[in-house]
Amino acid sequence: MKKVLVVDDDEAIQEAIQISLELDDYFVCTASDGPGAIKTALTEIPDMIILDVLLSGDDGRNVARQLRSHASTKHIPIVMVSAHPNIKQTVIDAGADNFLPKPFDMDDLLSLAAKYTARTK
Amino acid sequence: MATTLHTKLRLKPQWNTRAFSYDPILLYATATLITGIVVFTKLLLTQLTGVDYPFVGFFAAIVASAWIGGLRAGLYSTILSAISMYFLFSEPALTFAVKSPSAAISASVFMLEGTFVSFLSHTMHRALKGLEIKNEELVQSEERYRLVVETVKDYSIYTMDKDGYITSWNEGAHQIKGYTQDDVMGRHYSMFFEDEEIEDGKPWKYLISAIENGRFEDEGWRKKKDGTKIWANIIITPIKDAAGTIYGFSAIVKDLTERREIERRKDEFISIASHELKTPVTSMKVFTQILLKTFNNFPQSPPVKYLMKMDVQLNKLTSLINDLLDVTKIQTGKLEFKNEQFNIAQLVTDIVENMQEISPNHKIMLKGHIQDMINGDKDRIGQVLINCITNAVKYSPNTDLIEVGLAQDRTQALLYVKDYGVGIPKEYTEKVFERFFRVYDDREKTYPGLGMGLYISSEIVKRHSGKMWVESEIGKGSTFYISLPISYI
Repeated sequence: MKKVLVVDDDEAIQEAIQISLELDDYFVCTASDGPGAIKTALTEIPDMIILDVLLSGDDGRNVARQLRSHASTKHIPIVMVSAHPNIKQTVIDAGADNFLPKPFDMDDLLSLAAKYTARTK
Repeated sequence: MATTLHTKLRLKPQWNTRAFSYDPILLYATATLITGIVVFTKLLLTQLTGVDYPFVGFFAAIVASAWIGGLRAGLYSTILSAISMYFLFSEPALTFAVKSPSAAISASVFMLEGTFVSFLSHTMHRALKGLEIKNEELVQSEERYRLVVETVKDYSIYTMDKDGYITSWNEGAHQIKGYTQDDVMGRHYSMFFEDEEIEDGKPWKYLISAIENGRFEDEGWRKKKDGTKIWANIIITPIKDAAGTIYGFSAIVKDLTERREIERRKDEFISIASHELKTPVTSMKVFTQILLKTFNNFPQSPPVKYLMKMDVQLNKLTSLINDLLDVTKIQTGKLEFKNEQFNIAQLVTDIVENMQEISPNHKIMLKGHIQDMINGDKDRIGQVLINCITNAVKYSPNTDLIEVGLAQDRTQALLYVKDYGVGIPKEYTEKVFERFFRVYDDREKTYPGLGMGLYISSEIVKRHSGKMWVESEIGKGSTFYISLPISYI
């Protein structure tokens, strides 16, 4: 079973994505802030990370940069999501693999999850 | 303050345009007195010297009378002088009896000359008086304008010579910029500009532009005396003399700092609100899709239909929020554009296919072709076309045909979206592209929307150096045209 880390400070979004992924047979772990995301990523080593840009008190792009700098997490695909629709380039520059503007179609996120977790097989 | 201004501005009683308005009895009495003095002086002179100067002195009396009392007083003095002359100084004196023919001719010639002199003196006096009145009016008019300009406090108004050196400074300028008249008179107006603007030659460019276009208007940060800055609107207008030669400039400056701050807060609020609105919409959308999956085995069941409707409505809500965000970004100049070469014909074909899928009640026909590529933001141009087709569907509830056309010439690509719906009244065909403008038809029937789509679309097209316009007839439909420059790179 592929493991996905979902990082979002909004509980409802976190829960919705989690349920959706679990229905598609993923194992999901979650985090709500930057330090929590790094800690969970380092201990769980997920196959993919879904990372919100605007976290309470933290910029998801900084989290992405830190994840890219750790030897054990730098290979993990990161898909970033944000309510700001036109920041794709900045998240790519921060090291993310892809970007989805909120609100997204869950099918789009699921196909990205399929694509990136297959890559890390 | 109002009273003072009123008192200051109140004109003196209007001058009587007739030069003379005194009491007629007083005029004739004056004429009689002047003539009498002359007669008396003449009598005295004749007695003292023993020589008779028949006309000497009388013309002076006529000129003086006409000058003071007007034509009638002059003529009166002429008659009085002629009678005195005939009675007192023609031999035999002291009688009105018929005298020598030369005496009668002299008196007649004197009367004619007297009439002429009266007329001349009166006319000259009137002309001089008229000139005086005109001058007085001019002085008063200048004074009135000077007071208006000087007392205005909400606008900084100053004048400059043709090189930009300050020649006058009003109270508003003092209040807004903090400098007194003594601080600025004779100094160059570039003193209010930022250093980098001066290096860039902005103050001089403004003056040149004002000369070339008759006026110049701009907004920007300007320096105050205390070092702080104001966001100001400035209008510079050349001042010309009667011959049309520019001898200076007027500058009217309005402090818009407060308004700018309010606008900034409003835009920031909309930006945050849009962001905050998207968060619950995101989870609602995912939960809706989870529910849809739960009912996966019953695709025709009512819950599935309802959930699909919910998903469509959530998409509408999302696009409204995105429009709000776009409007704010346009207002603040933060709408970002990619610049890439793309195949517009392919983009239009894809969009028409997608729109046909979600608009089952309308037939969207694609006509024509564009061979060449376009430079710009593919997604934004797509957004314009989607907006036009969505409008065409929305505003043609009773007809079902929508045409999307493509055409091109050597330099321009042309797209159009034609519907056969309600149409737009002629007076609104330009206004529909304004922010938040909505068309109401004569039955007060309204259509949903916030009036943002066409504003955003036209701004996107403008940013691509293109044009967007509409041709429409009430009850027959509308055609929206978009022309974009073809890329040759």
